[in-house]
Amino acid sequence: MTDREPDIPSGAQALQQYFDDELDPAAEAAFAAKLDREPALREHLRQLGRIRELVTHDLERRASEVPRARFEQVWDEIDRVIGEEQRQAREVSAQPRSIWQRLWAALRPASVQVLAAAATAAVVVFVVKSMNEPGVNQPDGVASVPHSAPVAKPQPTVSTPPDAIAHVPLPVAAPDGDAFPAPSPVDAEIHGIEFGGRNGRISQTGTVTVLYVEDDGAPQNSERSL
Amino acid sequence: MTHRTPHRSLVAVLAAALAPVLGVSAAIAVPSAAQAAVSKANCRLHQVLLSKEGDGNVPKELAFLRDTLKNDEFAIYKGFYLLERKTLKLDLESRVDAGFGTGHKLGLTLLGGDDAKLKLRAELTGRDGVKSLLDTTYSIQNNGQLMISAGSHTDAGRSGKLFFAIQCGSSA
Repeated sequence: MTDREPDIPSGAQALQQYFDDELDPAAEAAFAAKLDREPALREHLRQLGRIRELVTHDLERRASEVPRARFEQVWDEIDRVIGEEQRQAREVSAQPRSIWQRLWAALRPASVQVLAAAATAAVVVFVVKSMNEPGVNQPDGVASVPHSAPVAKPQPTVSTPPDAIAHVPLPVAAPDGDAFPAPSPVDAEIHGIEFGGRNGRISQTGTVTVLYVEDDGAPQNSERSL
Repeated sequence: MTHRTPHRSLVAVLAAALAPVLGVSAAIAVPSAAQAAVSKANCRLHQVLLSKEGDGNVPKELAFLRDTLKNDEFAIYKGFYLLERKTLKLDLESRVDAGFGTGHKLGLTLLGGDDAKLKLRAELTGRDGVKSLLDTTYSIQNNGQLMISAGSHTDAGRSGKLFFAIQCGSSA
């Protein structure tokens, strides 16, 4: 503070301490001797005393104008404000945070480790998924029969030309063919249809879709989207 | 200072320990969501003869068709005869053919779908097993049924219309 007052000569800090009775007895005696030798310093000390007198006198005058009851009200208001602030501070500190806030607060110091863990998890996902997927370049199967499906014996009722066997896979029996539920009473949604016979039409009743074709006649093509 | 608190170390250790667990869990969860798309289906095919002559009773082996045959579409038919039944297992994008004693061949291909609906392709040949009568792509509710009428037919002295009933359901 004293550094910002250029009109105060050196030793101003000591002067202020002397003025405030903050010097030890030896320093006080030494400073008193210095005051005797330096009139300017004494003038500063006098000005300080004058300032204090003015301030305290004014404050005392104003205080004397305020009734004592008013002081009680002021102190009550101060106590109330302080108490309110302390209560709010306690509530903020005691307010439970959400699990995500707590989790983030716990993980934030170790964000690098968390990112590394996430990267590890991503690698594990990739590896596990790769293990579940079939590899590429699988050997070709016979016609369109799935690799895992057993080849059924030719059925005598099927009059399949020998040269068509490679192109027409034999049916593979489902393990529990009788386990089908009753058909759902719904129409099919026809995306595209090509009739090869003489005639063809689509009938949709709302519960079943019937495609009518004829087994003879010239081929007839059509594309429909219903 | 490079002082590391025990709390930070604990978090790092926990994160490292949980990473594989999270990864495996995600790997299990992600395919299960993706597998909502159907890759296999079971189908049953029935070849039936519907005749205008008969007592109107649906035989036991065609009981599953009873509701369908009550439809006005089939009101003119009084005789119902099962000629042949096939069951097929379909893999995605793999055509499987079924041959019938009448000479017809019915090829089915599972094109996709989900747990609720299947997309299929049906290809039916004539009695010679070669000539194409029908080639259609359709979507239908899981275990829904598509009927195909393939013209007139006579079997064991009974004359009527030949029908194919195709019912497919997704399988695991």
